[in-house]
Amino acid sequence: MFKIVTPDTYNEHQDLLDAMHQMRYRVVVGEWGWDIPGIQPGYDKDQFDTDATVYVIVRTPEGEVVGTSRLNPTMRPHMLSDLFADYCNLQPYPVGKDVWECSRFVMDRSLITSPVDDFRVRCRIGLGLTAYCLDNHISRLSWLTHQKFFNLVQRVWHTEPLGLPRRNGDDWAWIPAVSRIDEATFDRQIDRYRNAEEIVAEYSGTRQASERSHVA
Amino acid sequence: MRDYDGSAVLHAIRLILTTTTSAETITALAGFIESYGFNRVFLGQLVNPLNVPLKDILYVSNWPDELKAARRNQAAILHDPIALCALRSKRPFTWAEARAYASRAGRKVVDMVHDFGLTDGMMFPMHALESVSGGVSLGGDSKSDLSPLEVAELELVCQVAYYHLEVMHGPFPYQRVAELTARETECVQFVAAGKSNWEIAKILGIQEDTVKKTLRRACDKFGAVNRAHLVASAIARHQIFP
Repeated sequence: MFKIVTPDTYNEHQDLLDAMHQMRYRVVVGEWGWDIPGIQPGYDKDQFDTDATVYVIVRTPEGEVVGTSRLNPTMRPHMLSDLFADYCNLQPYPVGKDVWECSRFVMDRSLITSPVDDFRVRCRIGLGLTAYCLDNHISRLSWLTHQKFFNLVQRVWHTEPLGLPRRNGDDWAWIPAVSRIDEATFDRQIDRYRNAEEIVAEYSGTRQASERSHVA
Repeated sequence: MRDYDGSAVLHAIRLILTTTTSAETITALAGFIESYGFNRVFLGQLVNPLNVPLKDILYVSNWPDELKAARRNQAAILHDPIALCALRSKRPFTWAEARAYASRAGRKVVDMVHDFGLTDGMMFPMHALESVSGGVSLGGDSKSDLSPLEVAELELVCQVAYYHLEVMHGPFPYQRVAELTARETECVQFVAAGKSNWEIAKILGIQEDTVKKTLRRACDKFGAVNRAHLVASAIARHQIFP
């Protein structure tokens, strides 16, 4: 379903982590065109990939990294505190032992063969995030979400914005937000995962939607 | 920015999220937009309306009934420059901006709204993963000179209201039920309006023979034996406006 890599298991999963950083670079720099200062070419590892970072990783049946996200404790410097504090103009970004920050929610769509796979990979990353939070008494996740992603976050987790939308020029906006994590969230996510084919069919109405998933 | 007080925005968002009917949501949104000089809300999904049964598209508004009826009668959504711009835009824009790029038919649609006293407005496009694109259009009777901060406030509250309504109504079975192509729908719609093949060809700027072939294909899909049968079938299947 998903793999959670915590700091105490970095050593046993070094190859997996390398593949994850390489996949992130391919997508984030290669596809999205982000300019991330200070990273090595081909390897997206920045100052927020720390010795406390937890990763959720989803693989294809062949073992390729197809999706990932990272979690950082807010008791230490994190993206909202260090880079985007001024985005949080509606309410202060939350800080506490039970609040972690989620970032780099990335999927490699070149490895995904259908809308149902796409949906399921996204579900699996989300389930991994919620599972880690529930197991570790984390009750809230903070994010800086892309405007197009915000409604999805809102649909899965009980979410409130921390700030107004911000955009560069005419591009999509970004919205800082905080989501509440509880067992009901997990149940809702499991239901979405289980009903992936039906949900995707309802939204896209394509024949592809009824194809079976190729991602284990 | 440190002195900025976003409590009204947060209050509006929390209020909207507690609403359980479309009417309540629109009322809550309408209450919020008043202080920005707007008093009318039109919230809708922007799919290719030629390809989608209109009954399945989510439209919610507090526009005057006569205006809604007039727009419906004239199939305004097909030409509305604000709706068309919203499909492509990544940022909010004013109605005036959209009108500047409108076709002649599009300008007529905007002017019709003006005739009902809605002279100025702003469109907030909604695009998301796992969702059909749409928009929230706010209208009023006076020119609002909004700051970027005010636009951002409206954008956020509109976004929350829009997706709250979408969750409330559930996903809509759009393309799944579309049976005709865009061109076929367009031609059948004109047949329903009493146009001849020659007239349709002139209106659409295509060959009369193409119109004939397009309508033949539509007939084959519905098993229709003549024009009247085709129109009746298309209406019964919600493929065109009645």
